[in-house]
Amino acid sequence: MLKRIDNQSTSVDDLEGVSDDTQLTWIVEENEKFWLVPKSGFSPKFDSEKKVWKNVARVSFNFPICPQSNLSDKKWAFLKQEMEASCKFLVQQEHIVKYEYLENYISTICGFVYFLNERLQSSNTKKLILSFAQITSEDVLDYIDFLAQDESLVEYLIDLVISEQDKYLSSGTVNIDLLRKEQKISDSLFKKIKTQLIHKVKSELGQLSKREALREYPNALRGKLDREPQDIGKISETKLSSIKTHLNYLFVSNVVLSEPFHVDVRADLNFTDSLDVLNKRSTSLIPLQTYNYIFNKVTWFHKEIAPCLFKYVRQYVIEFQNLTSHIAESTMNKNGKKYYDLCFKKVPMPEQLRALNISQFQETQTNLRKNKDNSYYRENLSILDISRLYGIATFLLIILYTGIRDSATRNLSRDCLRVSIVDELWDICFRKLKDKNSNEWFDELKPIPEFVYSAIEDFAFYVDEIETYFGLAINEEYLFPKFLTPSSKDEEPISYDVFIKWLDIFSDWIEVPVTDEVKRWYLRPHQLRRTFAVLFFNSFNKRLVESLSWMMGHDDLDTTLGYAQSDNDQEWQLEAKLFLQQMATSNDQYLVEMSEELALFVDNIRKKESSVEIKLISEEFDLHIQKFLDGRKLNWEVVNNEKLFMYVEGVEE
Amino acid sequence: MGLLTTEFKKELKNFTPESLYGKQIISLESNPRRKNAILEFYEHANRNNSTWFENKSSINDALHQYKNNLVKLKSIRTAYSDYSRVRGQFATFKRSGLIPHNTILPKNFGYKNVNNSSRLTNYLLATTNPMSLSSIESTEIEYLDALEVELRQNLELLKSYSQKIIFDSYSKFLLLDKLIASSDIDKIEEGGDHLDPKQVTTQKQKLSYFSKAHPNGLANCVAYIYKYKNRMFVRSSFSGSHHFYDHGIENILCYLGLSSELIVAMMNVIIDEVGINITPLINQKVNTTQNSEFIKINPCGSIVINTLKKRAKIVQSTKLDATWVESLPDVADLSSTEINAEFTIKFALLVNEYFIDFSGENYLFLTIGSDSSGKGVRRISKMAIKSIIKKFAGDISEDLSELSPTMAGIRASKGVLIWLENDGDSVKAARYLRNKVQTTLNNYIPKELQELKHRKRIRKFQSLLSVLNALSTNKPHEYLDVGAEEYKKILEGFFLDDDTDGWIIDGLISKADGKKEEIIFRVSQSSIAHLIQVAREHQDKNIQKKCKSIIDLIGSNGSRKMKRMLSQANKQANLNVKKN
Repeated sequence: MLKRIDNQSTSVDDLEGVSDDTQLTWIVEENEKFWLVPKSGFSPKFDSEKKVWKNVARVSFNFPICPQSNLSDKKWAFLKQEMEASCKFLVQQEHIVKYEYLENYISTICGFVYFLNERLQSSNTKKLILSFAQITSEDVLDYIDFLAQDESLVEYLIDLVISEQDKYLSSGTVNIDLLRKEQKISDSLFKKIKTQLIHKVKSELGQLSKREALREYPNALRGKLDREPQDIGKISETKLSSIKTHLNYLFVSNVVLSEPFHVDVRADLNFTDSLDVLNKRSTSLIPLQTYNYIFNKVTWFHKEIAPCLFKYVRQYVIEFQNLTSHIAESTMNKNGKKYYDLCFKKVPMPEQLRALNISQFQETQTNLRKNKDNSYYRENLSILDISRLYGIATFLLIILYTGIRDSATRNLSRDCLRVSIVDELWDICFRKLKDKNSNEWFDELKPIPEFVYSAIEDFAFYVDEIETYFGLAINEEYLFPKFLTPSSKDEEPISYDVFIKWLDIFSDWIEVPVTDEVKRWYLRPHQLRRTFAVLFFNSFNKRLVESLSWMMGHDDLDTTLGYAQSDNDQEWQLEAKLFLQQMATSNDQYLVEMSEELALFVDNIRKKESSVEIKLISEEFDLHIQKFLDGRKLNWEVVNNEKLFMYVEGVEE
Repeated sequence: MGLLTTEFKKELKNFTPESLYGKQIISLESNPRRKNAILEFYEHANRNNSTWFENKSSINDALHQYKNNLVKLKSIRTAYSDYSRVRGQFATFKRSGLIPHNTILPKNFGYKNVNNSSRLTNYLLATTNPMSLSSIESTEIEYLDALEVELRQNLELLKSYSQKIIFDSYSKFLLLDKLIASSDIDKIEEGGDHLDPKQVTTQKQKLSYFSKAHPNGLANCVAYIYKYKNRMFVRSSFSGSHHFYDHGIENILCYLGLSSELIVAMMNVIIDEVGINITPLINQKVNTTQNSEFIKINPCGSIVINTLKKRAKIVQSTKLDATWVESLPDVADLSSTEINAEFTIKFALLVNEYFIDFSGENYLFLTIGSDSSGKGVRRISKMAIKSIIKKFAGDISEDLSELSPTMAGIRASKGVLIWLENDGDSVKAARYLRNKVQTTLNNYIPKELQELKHRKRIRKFQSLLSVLNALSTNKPHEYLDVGAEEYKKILEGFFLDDDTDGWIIDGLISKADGKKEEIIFRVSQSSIAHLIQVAREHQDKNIQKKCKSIIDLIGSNGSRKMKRMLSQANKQANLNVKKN
């Protein structure tokens, strides 16, 4: 087996072994408001210097449970106690495997109780929900109905805000509290519609989000399978189903509650309408043309830019050390810029890099970039910026060729390259993070082409070099460390947000072709993953799904099919076919100069593609055959002295 | 399994809390499965905390610790079964109120965890163990080929050996009437002492009709059992019964019914052909039951076998096409290689027809022999099958006997063989194994073999991606860092590859320009037959496809006469395939 359980995974068990108290050792620290629990896949470490725990996640109980009061408040002590018991039970029974997921559970249940309490308050009964035993099955059904309902109220509120902008809008944002108070909307309801409301108001007013504002073409191209604008902020089916699951958990843990339920509502929470994998909304497919463009640019970066960049940076680092070795650190902090510039001028830059408008080594004046969109980078690039783009290019290269999940890619370690023991070819080793059923990390080996292998190897060396330059200890742990944002020195890989920001910059920098509607495709890692699956699926004529499933790390073939089928994307398919045609004709000299055998084969395919018309005639027809043929030449194939086939070939239209 | 020994009870009493002991003994006596697991649990619990049974949380703790300990000591599969037994026991205690009703019993290990450790250890009939793939020195292709050859060879050996046994038995069975006719059956009972007055030994003693020295000895034995003992040899003594042992009971009985060896040989042939599991095969019913599990012979001679898949709770139907429609052939017309599942089942039904009627048993494979019900016929036991198939292997060759084949192993090997023969087509393997594709991949095809195939395909796809990417550049071969010639070869590789025939590849070849092809097909009985033959056998996929579309057209748009011709031609073609 190539799967190997990482040593870290046993940590929780070890912890249990060491401690005398066999119960609940997974709670690292406990106080009124929250628990600290081990992050999944990590063993908690106590940092004795800073007196804090590392590798832990916080499970908070501090959620509002009725207006002006939170679960962690003293008066809810009993309910909190029950909640804790339920949490412990769920972990023990392995309903919830990853400890940090407890927080979602607590939050859902609090939201539910909040809804009930608010309703009780408004009906002027003084009683509130003090014990889960008070919950009835009607309550649950009401809540589910409440969540599933569409709100006509939203439209009304939007109109209101737009028409009375002075009142409800302060510096571009909606004054939510005022709106809620004046309209007397209940908290639960408001919480439900808030995102939807804000988003719609923003789009009505034409405001952009921070990330969008940075883009060269702010209105990114959305695939038709992305959420429709009117759906944003609505409770999705996925969300609803997870709420149902959480409620179900609450009723499952009935046995450990000191005041158990009198009703069993689990049957009411029917999951029949839960998600069917195949019908699930799938990630947008990148148009093949765009995909190909990105692919080309990524390869171009690795083939053309990366080698010179590496050479240049190495020279620069040596030169810089020569220049500054005699200078004290304090002087460097004060007058560093002088030396940067000096060094930058001194080291000759290769031709390929000069074409990229590189003006400095690292940004010394950050405010220059302020209020500029990403097109700025095409005019003014620093070596540090291009290093980040190098990181993105490597990242994309890996996903383009393997379709690995983005989190797994970001968590790649620097020595992730292997030579396979199975086929003695190139492999990448990544730690599998997403595994629903266990709290463990796996090392998984997946094949990569030799070119990708050497590209990653080069990049790893390059990262080492950059880290030395910044005086950081070489952090062997991650291939994509936080060197991309030098201010932070955490031992963590690049975060998703930073990564997405630079992915957008990369898209603008390589100038992904803009469509007619003046929109640009800003790609996301998961789109690459899906496109990988679809291309595989359609290259092998919808067969060999098990191999694709293995590559994508799925347990279930259905999941893979959900990814790979593109029947809902007819438009995409048409475009892709057209693009392939174009590509083939523009390169026809290669397809024409093919060997005889291949030419024959291609001919055959052409025949297959051309329309074949079949006509059936019966034996008695022989007499009239000449008339039917209309003078065309007839070929017979004779078997056992009988005329069996006849065919007319190559009819020109 | 087994009854509880006093020693075990004593030990159990040592560790079991008094309040639970009584119920525990009752449960264990009715279900002694994994009794040691239960004992181990009590030992473990007592070692850590002598008052573990007093309240619900300490019971929970004890179970938890036991469970955690199990994984360290045993394989996940054993741990899973052991803990499942203990947990079940405590659920019983909970129901009967011996422990608090709200005690939480920790869940068993996730099924996925158990399932991930592949069921295959040394399962396949091959010396090259896929598990040790990393240590083999040959390349992957060589390895796969070697495995394929070895599996095919071993399965073939076992099959032909089984066919031979069936063939021999069949010829003996056909001789039965002759044998009885040649015997002295009418005279045997005359004297009352089964002694033949005409046959006298040198010591002037009358010879028993059954004696080995008697010229008709064997025939007399068979005929006697046939006529007077309801064709069954039940251990009862009668004059001269001891002579039967000289001939060999099996030897006599094999003229009358199915011997154990014959049954195993038959099962082997059936499993090799249709991949039914061994357990349902043992339990295969003849007449329909509540679960509609039966064997039916259609008027056209084809057989429908309905098998119950117990765990999946479904009935699976298998259809065997007919070769021998009216009756089974004469020995002279039969060669042992022709023996297939259809023949085997018909033969078994023919032999057992009498026993099924007589004893009221409803099993396909009944063998003569006494059992507790005293019916004189019984189902074959699993242990017997195991030892007989081992004996077969020993008779065939030493190498094979070292692999210690089992029926399940034969089925799994055949599944893997089919998978290998079809270049890793898991659907075909699943169809043979009668499982879901997912089950086939999880439990039958070794993960290591799968990975070899996966890697090959993924690498192919990755180079395809590179080529696709290169095509949009001006000089693709430079882009790919290969020479022009090599580039062409790579392209050819993709276009000529049978696997990569999806539209992504085909789309690269620009469409034909306005050419239209017209096929006129003259429908006659013989032309359709030819058409079907071409559609099945022609090398050129393109022509095959055309023929298939013509057949489709006849099936959907043809006149009624044409359709009838088509169905007749189809039947004829199926028959031809069988004959060849």
